[in-house]
Amino acid sequence: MDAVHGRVPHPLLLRENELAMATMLALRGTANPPTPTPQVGRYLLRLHRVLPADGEISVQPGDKVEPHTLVGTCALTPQRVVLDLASLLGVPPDRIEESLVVAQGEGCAEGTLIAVHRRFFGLRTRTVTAPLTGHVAALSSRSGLAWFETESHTVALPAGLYGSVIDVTPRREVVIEAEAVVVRGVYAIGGEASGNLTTVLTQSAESDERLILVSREPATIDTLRRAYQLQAAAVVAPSAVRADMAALGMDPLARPSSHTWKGPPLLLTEGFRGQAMTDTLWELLTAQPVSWATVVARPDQHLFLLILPIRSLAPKDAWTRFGPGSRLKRAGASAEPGEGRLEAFLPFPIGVPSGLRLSAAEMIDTEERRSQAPISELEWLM
Amino acid sequence: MTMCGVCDSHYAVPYWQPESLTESPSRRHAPQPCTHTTGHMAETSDSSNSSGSPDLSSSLPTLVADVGAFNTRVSLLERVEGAFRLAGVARVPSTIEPPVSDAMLGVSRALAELERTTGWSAAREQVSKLAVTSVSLTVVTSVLSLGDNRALNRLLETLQTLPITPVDIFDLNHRPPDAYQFVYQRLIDSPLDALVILGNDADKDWEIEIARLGEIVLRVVAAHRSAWQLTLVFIGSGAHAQYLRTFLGERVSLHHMTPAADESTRLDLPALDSLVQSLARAKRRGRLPNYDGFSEWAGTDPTAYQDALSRVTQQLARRYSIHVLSLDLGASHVAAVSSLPNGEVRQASLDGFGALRSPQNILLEAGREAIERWLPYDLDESRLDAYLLHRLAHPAALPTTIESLVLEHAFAREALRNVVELIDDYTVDGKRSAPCAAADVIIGCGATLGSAPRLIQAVSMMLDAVQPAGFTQFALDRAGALPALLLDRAIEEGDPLLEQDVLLSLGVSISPSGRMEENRPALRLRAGMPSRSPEEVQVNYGAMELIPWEGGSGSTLEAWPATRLNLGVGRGRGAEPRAHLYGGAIGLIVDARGRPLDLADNKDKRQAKVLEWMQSTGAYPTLSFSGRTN
Repeated sequence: MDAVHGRVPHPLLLRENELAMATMLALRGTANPPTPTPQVGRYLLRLHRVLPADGEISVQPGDKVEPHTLVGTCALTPQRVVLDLASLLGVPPDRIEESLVVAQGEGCAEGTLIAVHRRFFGLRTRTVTAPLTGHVAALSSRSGLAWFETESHTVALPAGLYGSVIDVTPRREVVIEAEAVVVRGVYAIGGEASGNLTTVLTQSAESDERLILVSREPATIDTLRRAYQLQAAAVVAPSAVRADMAALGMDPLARPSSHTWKGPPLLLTEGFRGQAMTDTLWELLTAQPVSWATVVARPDQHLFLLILPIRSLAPKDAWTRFGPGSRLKRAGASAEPGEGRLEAFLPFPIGVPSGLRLSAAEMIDTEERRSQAPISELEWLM
Repeated sequence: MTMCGVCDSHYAVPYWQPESLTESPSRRHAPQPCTHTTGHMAETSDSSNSSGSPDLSSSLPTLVADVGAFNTRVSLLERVEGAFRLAGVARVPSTIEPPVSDAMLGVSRALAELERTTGWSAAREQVSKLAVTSVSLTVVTSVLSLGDNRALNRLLETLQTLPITPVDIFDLNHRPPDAYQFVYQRLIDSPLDALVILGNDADKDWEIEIARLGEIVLRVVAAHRSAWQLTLVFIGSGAHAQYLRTFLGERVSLHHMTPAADESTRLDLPALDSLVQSLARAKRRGRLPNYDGFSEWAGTDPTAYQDALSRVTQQLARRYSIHVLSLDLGASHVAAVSSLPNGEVRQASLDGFGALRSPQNILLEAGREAIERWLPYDLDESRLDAYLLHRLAHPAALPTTIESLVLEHAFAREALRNVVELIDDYTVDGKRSAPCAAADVIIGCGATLGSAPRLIQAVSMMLDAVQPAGFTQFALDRAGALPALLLDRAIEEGDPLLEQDVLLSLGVSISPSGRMEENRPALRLRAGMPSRSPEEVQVNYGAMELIPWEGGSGSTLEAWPATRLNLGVGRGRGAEPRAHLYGGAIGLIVDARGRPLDLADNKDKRQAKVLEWMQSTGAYPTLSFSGRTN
C-alpha cells in the first residue's frame, strides 16, 4: 500500500510503449473523428495489464475476471538515497562504519539518528538522521557513502473491468478482452482507477468501496480536495479552470511528467471553460444498470477514457442474451415480415427520447429492409 | 550557396528544374552541371532498393499507405500512357488512438474513399503495396556526461546519425554546485525513452558520482506513476557499470557499452546504433496498433516516414545536383533533411514538437517571445492559454479565426526553426557543413505546411524558419503523397510526371543577405517572359513582394542588389540563375528583409512590419486583428 495516500499505488499499470490501455478493436465502424467531445461508442477492447516489474501472474487464458480480480503482483525495488556520511560527519571514509548507531539492515523511522561523530569530548558533535523510513543497506569505506533504502513494496494489479483473459505473458502481462462503452474525454490526469460511479461522495474512511465521483458542474479546487480527502477513486467532471488545476499541481499546459497532483485521477469531458456536462452524457453516467467504470488518464499519451461495461447501454440482462446478428422478431408478429436479424443497437446519441437506456434496435428483415423496433417489443430467437 | 569563380557579374546558381525533364528524354538522366564550378555533377541513378519498395518495372498499379498521427493517406500510382502517374489520393482520419486502435481500419477506409473517388477497384486488379508511417519516429533521449569535452563531442556526433530526439545534454564535468538538482528536475520534466550516461575512467571520485547519478535515475523512475521503463545506456568501464547497476531496480533497463580504442573519430558503437534502432522500432510498433496487420497488408514492415523523406531528398539532390532541404511539419513531430549533391545528408526529427498536437512543447522550448515575434497583434496570457487549451482538447480542429491561424503558423515557424538549427549545429569531425539557408530547393510537407489554406502561407513559414539566401525554389507536398517518390524505379525510369504530380512547384524566392537602411532601394529585378517585354521592379529594404512570373524556356531573370547586399557573388554584384527557373504557383517572392532577418525589438514597429509582410504578399485576408474588417 502507498503509505502516503492510503491506497494501492499504480492501480492499473500500463506499459509506456503500448498504446496504454492498449489494443482496442472496433466492433463496429465507428472510428473516432479527430476531435470528438465527448465521444461515446461501443467497442471491443483488448486491455493489456502490465506489471512494472517481473512478478507473478495469477490468471490463465479463458478465465473470467471482474474489476477486483487480482491478475498479478510484483515487488518493486525500494527507493534508495545516497548519504555522503564521510562529509556529513567529517570523518575519513574508512571510519564511517564506526560512526553508525544503528546496525546495517536494522529498520528505523524517518528522522531517527543513524550516525554520530563526537569531537573534543562531545563539544562538536555531528549527526545524521534517517531521511526516510527504511534501513542502511550498505556502506562504502572507499568513498564514505552510505545507501539508505526504504522497504520494497508490493504492487497488486487488478483487472479493472469485466472481461475474459485471452493471453498471458508469463511474469509480466495479461490481455483482457471486454466489450465496453467508451467515453472519450478531452483531458485527464492521474493514471487509472476503477470504481462505482456516484454523484455524491459519502465514503467513510473505513469503507473499502471505491467510488468515482461524477459531477455535472465544473470541477473546482474544493471539489477535487474533497474527493482527495474522501479517497475517491476518480473524478469525472465536464470541465475545470486551468488556474485551479495548476494550483493543485496538474497544470494541463505543463509537461505531464512534472505534475505533482497525487489525488484521484480527473477526467474532463467537455473542456476548460467552465462548461457543464451535456444532458445525454449525464444520463449515461447516472442512469445505467451497471455503475462500475474505469478511468484511464494518461496525458503523456493523450489517452482520456472512461470505460463502462457494455450493459450500460442496453436493458438489463439484454446483452447476455443477444448481440448483432442475433435472430429476432417482433413480439406477437408472425414469422413474416416480423422476423429478422439484429443489425445494431442504435448508436448513442441519436435522440433517443429517454436518453441512453436504449429503447430501440435496428433490425434487418428477411428482405434486407431496415427498420427500428422498440426493444420491449422484440423477441429473441437465439 | 556554391561560389562560382568564373562568372563576371552574374552567378550561376544550380536549380531544380523538373519540368525541363519533360522536354527531352535525353536530358532526363543528365542534369547539366555548372560549367564554372566543380562538384555539381549529379549522380543520376540510384539503383538501390533496400527497403523492399514495390517494383515498378512491372505495370502493376501501386498503393502507398501512409499512416500518420492524424491522417491516413492512400495514394494510387498507375501507368498512364506508359508513365507512372499519381492517379489519386484519399485521406481519412487515422484510427490509431483508443478507443479505435487499429491502423488498418483507417487504411481500409482510405482505400474505400480512393475507390469511390477514382472508380478504381482494388478487388479487380493485382497491386503492389508500400506501407509508410510517421508515428513515433525517434527515441527521445538525453545525455549525461562525466567525460571530457572531446569524448562528449564524439558521442554527440555519433548520436546525430541515429533516430533520436535530443532533449538535454548535461556536461557534468565542470558542474555548478546545484547541477544534480537541476538534472533531476529536467529529467522529471522530460518524457524520455532513453538516457545515455558517458562515464569517465579518470575520475577519482567516480563512486560518488555514479552513486548520485544512480540515485537520481531511480528517483525519476519512481516519480512516474505508470509502468514506464527507462532504457539507460552507460558508456564507460565495466566496473562503473556494475556499480551503477546496484542502484537501479527492475524498472531501468541498463545497457553497458565500451567505446572503441580509436579516439580520433566518432565513437564506434555499433551496439548503440542497433539498440537505438530497435528502440525506435519497438516504440513505433507500440504506438501503431495492429502493426502486424499493416505489415501483412504491405508484405513488409512499414517504412519510417523520416527514412522515406531522407531517401527522396537524397534522390532529388543527386538527380539534379543541388542542395535540397525537406521540411516535414506533422501533427506531432517536426523533421528536416538536408542533402547535398555529393551524397552528404543530415537529418533531424523532434517528436512531440508538432504544431497541432503539442504547441505547448514548442512554447516551453522556444519561449513566448519567440512565438510572439511572428504575430501582428498582442499575445496576452489569456489568449495564449485559450489557444493552447483549445489545441489540447481539440488537436485536429481547424482554426476558426485569422488570429488563431496566424498563431498556429507562428508555432509552426518556431518548430521548423528549432529543427533547422539542430541540423545546422551538426558537425562531422568537428566541422560544420553547408547551412540549411544555402539550400537550392526547399520542400515542405506534413499536415501544417501541406494543408495551409494559401500556398504563400506555406512559403512564408519556410522562408521565416530557414531564412534562405540567394535564389531558392520552393515546392510543396500538397497531396501528402511524397512517399510515392520512394519508388526508386519510377525515378530511375525518369518519370518526371510522377514527381510533378506529387510536388507542387510554388515559386522562387530571391533573398539578398546583409543589412542596410530601411525603405531604401534594396534590389532591382528584371523579369522577362517570351510573350512580353521585360518588367523591371525595384524593392525597398525591409519589404516583401510577390511578382507574377511564369518562367520557363525563353524567360529571363536578373537581379541587382544594393551595394551592401549580397546575392551570393559578392556585395552589390548582380546575379541570375544558371538556367531557366519556373515560377510555379506563386511566381517570384522577393524577400528584401535582409539576412539574418532582423525583427525589431520595438513591439509596435515589429507588429507593423509583420502585418505589412502579410498584406504585401496576400498571405492572409485583409482583416484587422481586432476582428473587424478594414
